[in-house]
Amino acid sequence: MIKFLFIFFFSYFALVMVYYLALGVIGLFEGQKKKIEEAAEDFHLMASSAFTIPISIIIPAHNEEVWIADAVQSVIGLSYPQFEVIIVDDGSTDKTLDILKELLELEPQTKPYVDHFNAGKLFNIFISRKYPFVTVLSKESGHKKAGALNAALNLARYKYVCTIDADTVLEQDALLKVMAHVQKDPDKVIGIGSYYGLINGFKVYSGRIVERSFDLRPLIAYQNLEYIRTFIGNRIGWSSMNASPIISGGFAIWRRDIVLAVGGFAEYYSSEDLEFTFRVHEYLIKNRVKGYRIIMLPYFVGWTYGPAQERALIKQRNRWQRVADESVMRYKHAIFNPRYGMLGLVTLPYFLLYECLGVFFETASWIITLWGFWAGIISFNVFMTFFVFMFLWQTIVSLFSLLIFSRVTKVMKASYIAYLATLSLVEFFWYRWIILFAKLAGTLDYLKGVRSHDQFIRSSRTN
Amino acid sequence: MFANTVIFFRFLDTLLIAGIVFLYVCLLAYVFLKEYSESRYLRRTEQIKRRLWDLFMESPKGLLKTCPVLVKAFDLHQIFDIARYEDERYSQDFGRQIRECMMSSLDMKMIERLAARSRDKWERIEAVIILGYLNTPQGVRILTADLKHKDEDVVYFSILALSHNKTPQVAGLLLKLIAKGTASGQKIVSLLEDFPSSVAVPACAELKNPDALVRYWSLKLLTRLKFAGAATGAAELTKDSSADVRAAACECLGVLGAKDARGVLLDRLKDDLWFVRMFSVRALGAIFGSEALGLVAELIFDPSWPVKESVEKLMAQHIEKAMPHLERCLVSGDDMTRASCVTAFVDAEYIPKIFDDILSGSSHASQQSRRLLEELIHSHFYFGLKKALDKLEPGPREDILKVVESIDEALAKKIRTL
Repeated sequence: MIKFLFIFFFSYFALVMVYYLALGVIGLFEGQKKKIEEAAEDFHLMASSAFTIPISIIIPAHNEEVWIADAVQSVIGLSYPQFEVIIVDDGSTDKTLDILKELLELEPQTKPYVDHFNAGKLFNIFISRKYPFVTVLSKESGHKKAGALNAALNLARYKYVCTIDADTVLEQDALLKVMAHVQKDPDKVIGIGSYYGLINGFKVYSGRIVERSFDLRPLIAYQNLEYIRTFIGNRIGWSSMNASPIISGGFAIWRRDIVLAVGGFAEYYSSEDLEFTFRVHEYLIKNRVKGYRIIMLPYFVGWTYGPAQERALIKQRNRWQRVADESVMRYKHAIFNPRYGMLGLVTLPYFLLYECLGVFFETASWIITLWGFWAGIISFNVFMTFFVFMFLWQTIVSLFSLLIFSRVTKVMKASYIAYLATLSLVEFFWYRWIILFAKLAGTLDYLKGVRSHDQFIRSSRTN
Repeated sequence: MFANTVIFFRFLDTLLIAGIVFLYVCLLAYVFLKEYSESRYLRRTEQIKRRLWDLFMESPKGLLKTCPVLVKAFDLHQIFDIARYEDERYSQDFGRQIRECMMSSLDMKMIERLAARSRDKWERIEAVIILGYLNTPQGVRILTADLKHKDEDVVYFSILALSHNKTPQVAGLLLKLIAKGTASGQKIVSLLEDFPSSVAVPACAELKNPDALVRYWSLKLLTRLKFAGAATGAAELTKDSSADVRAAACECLGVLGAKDARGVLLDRLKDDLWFVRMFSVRALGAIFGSEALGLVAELIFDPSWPVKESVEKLMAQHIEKAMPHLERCLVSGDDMTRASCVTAFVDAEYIPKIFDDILSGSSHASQQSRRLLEELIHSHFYFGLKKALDKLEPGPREDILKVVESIDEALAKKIRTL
């Protein structure tokens, strides 16, 4: 039995590795394609055209006094012909609203507001005298980030809505780069997102990044590596098959009519983005919408703050794990269901087998192998074979993702890529265990019914 | 069996170790070499650009003489880079000369062949883009043929490339593509917007296109170009079967200031769809200004908020003339309507005027303004009372506060304590 389980676990992780590598190859071709597309697009013309699709940008903020000013300033400074900004202060107990009042010169407004989503009691609507296209909603908390997004949806008026996190600083050309793909076919592009990295270590002034110095601290560097592995290794590949499971809430653009049609963002889940993407897929598939696209792009459009302490990281990953569990359980009927196309056949099985059950497999594989070795069922040589494999499979995936990443982007210096590559060789000895622990805690919390959208504490800024 | 499996896994481990060593070395070599070659490439391209510019500044003919030598040193990517960034945005003469230089020095046949037949899709697209930039008659023919290609990327980049040829013929061709669904109307008109005004002629012709999308986008383009000749066609399209076209037609008439279209615009005030009514209100406001108030004032009671907002904006622009309508809706409107009226007063910055009238001593104006202030306060909507009061001197501020006190004692008390 032990031997059978040993073979099962070994095969399982080998399969996950092959899955990552195969999607990485697809990501490489897709990334190359997007690189040429980006080079060929006339962004000057797009930035000055009256026909560029206008967009409503939504920024939900709950106790974001550390980053809110930079996030808002980066949005105000976007190079894009027409957009409105709706910031939702979701019952902050810190100085978030005061900072917004001062920064934007807010005044109360008598705008009619109809709450279509039961998004929570609205205290006030403010309009900025300094930037008339900026509206701030002040509402009660308790409806999670989804509630804040829904409150803003009640006022959004453009065809596309872009949701960004209040700790995300956008690149000036972020919208142009992404909306160029929407403009190509606005009838078919339902959702679109793009890559964003960690801002830790950067120097930021008034919403502008003045120095890009990637953080060398291993905890941050490993998160950068993990982002690259996920975005490049998986998401671009899924996107090319129109099977994107998630457009991350940190930067996501959705067609508003579809957001309204599916009933807005759901408050029930620990985080809204994964479940929402699945829901949109399901809605479009059930309504037989042919040729729709939900796209993930490989451009760096912004930078977000990553947890700088282990505790904060565990809290964040705990929530991510719960979201994966909640969403997969909600859409379990789509797994291996051909009606859902590649989403049902390629993406969702991965989510079930790796993102949800992977934590059990990994924990169990270690327990069983160690026990088998201790009980004398498994020899030292066999144990070492397993140990070496577990140590190496993620490293090869990381190195491969880094290679693709450096081929399709120019964001990081060669020395930092080399640093990440070196760190990937020893990821097994520290970082991987933190993530495993967080995932395990997240799964247990999920089983206990925890559905909170708990925010990790941002450390005060030095940059 | 177990032993064999373990041997296989051990082999896998060996493969992984070899793979990791190989990948690690390759990755490091690749990223450092890439960084070096990219900075060298950028330096070199910059040098070439600068050299070409210097030659142009020395003598325009010098550029044509020396350029072939430089062009031979380029690869396709560098040509593409130069073509993209050194066009007429910076200097029309320079852009034209670079084009001439390239056409005389490049292997045009090769580029045309690539754009027409290359099996490498992205090589073909690069050639398509260069061909578009060079804008030769043969190039336009190839690009036009590429519009029928089965690959949507080739079609898309052929559209972008063709848009460099800013002629009415190309404009007509691109507008017709909207009907076939090969490109989004939004994208096509954003390209045509950059064309000379002669693009209006084919756009006008497309107003009779059987496809509603083509009619809609043609109207949008004509509106943007403010082409007066489109008024008749737009007036006819106010009765179109497509609501989007009707709305676009109203918008077009408003922008063109078509006074003759009064009747058709009034008809559209009764349209079933709110956005047609909204554009009709806006158009009437744009054409007739304050005179339109009488025509559209009733629509402040419209159930649709955007329609209300359009009327409200017109009222704010002509606040004095709109006063009877505003007073009526402040008294008899529902919550949303009253909110719109209050916003009209705020947008028109009318609150200081109310204070002035109250303080003027003229009994008629004072009484009327006092009544208005009372209605505004009783509406319970924000209208910037405190902010307006703070701008007054202490004496007049107190006088107004006494008036406020007589209307709403609690509110006056609250303002005094803030």
